[in-house]
Formats: sequence, C-alpha cells, structure tokens
Amino acid sequence: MAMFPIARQIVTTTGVTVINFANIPQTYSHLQLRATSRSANAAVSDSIYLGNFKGDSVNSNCAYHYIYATGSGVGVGNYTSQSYVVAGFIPAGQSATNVFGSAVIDILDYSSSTKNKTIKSISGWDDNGSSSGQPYLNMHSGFSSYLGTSPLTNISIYVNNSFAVGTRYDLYGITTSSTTGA
Amino acid sequence: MAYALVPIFTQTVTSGTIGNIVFSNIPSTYRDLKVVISARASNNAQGTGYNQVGFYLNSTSYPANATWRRLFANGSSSLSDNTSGFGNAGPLSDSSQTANTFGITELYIPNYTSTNFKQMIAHGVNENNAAAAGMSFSANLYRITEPITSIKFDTSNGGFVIGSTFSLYGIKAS
Repeated sequence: MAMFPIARQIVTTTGVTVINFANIPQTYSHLQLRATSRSANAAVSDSIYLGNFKGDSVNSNCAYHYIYATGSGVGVGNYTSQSYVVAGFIPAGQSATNVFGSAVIDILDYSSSTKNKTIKSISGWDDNGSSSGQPYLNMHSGFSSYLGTSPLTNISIYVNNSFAVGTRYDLYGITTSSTTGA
Repeated sequence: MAYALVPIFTQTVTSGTIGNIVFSNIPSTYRDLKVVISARASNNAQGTGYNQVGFYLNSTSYPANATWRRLFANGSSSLSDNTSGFGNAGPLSDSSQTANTFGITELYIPNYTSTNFKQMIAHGVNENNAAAAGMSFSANLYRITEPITSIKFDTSNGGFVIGSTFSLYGIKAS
C-alpha cells in the first residue's frame, strides 16, 4: 500500500477561518491533500491560501504561479514575496448554492532537508453553467523560501473570511518503493 | 485487504548528474501505472520553453511513434503546442531557477499491458522565486501495441541532478 490517511478536517460550524494540520508525521515520502471546499466570503470565488509550514505561525516569503480557464478564456499569473502560497481557486458566498470546489494538492519530499518544498495543485468547480468569468479550472505551483529546505511539519489553510460549512480537507501520506528497478 | 496503489520502483540521483533514468522489467500484474517525479536539470533552459522530462516506452527505437500535445504556462503567458519523437511528462526545474527547488510531475499510463496504442496524460510544475515558472498538462500517444515493460526518462537540457527522484506505482483494479 502506498497511500495512508493521516488526518481529516471537516467544517461543521460557521466562522471557521483556518484549517490546521499540525505535527505532520515525517514517515512518508510525499503528502497529498484532497479537498472539497467553499468560502463564505461575499464574492463569486476565493483562493485557497497555504502557509505556516513550520508551525511557528509565520507566513512569509512565498511564491506561486498559476493558469486558469474560465470556460471562455485562459489566464495566467505569478507572485513573489507573498505571505501564502495560493493553491487553488474555489467557489464563495455568491456562487451557486451548495457548490463546492475540488482540489488535489501534492507536496513531494516534504520531509527533505535538502529540497525546497514544491507544491502542485489542480482544482476546479462549475458554477451551474454560469459564465461569469471566474477561474473554474486551475493549476497552481508554489513554494515558501521561509520554509526553505527545512522539513514541512505543519499546514494551515485559509480563505478570505471563513470556510463554508461542509468544507473538508483530507491529508494523506504517500510511500515509495525501496526497489530501484534499474 | 487488497490495496489499489502499490509502490513498484524508486530511483534517486545520489551523486553527480545522471543523463537518464530507466525502469526495467516492470511487472505486468497491475491495470495502470503512475509515475511521480521530483526533478531538476543541470543546465539552463530558461527562455527556451523550459526543460521537460521526456519519456520513452520499451525502447528508444520507437521515437517516430510518439506524439504529444500540451497546455503550457510560464507565469506570464500560455500556449498550446504539439510535437513528436518522445513523450512529455512535464516540466522540471533547471539551473537558472531558485536553488534547491525541484519540479514535480505525475504521469498516468492506463492499460499498459494492452495491445492497443498507449495513451497517457501528465501534469507538472516547476517553481521559481521569480516571475517565470513552467506548468503543463499534456496528452501523449505511443503508437505501439506491445505491453510496456520499461520506461526511460531524460531531459531536453542537461541531466538530472542530485536529489531527483522517480517513483513508479502500480494501480490495481477490482
């Protein structure tokens, strides 16, 4: 077996502003977050913000890049010197009722002491056929130079305002083989 | 309990720079294959479309049978293109990008033991503490009908540096 459930966070009450995975075990090769999430912010879409990778409540020196499709066009973007890594776009308070965005976020070699921790995410949702120009299908990359080559021990997830009830994040550990096949 | 995702092989570059990575004698006991790559190239390809992880099924004598197309972005613009001669597993970081930063990609190979042509998809990113960083989705076709027993990976520019890892998984079906 290669994929092990580590922890799950489900939003069951209004006003939850942060989802936190603390003391992440360092016994796997890779991490994967699988999410169905929505923001309560008064907008059509919101961002998934990742930070606090050392568990010291410091959010700084992040870079991220993305491409998105709206259904009628494609957009790209890049940011450096940010507090967080944006790892996806999700529906928010003005999206269609009961619509949640899906995301799969990979962090390879998260316990390495020689690599920066590159984050890759694919996320998306459909707003009941709306053509409001939102970033419905997305691919993101990012990393934190504040974390640098230190092992990643914590992940905090934020949105603008708070998460909608029903939001769920599952954290998995992924193992690799000790056989090379060379 | 039967598990669906099974680690088969992992190779890590532990010294020097390696020109290619090969998985040989891949067992035929799974339904699909998945390859997870964390890699960085030794050379600088910034501004030339960025380095890609190329892959070759069974033998390098088949490049004429390989074609791919992709959606690619570099942080400031996007494009869709296509070419032939090798498979495209996605971008990797290179020496022009932030030190110690590696690109990560995933290659999915369904029905690898079938006698049909092999269709595959890949998605990956590299990262950089600057405006430019590559990311892509690609669809790949290898027009070969024999089961896949080996996969070779290389890079279009330089070799793989220390810390690059390639992990092969088998996916079981019910």
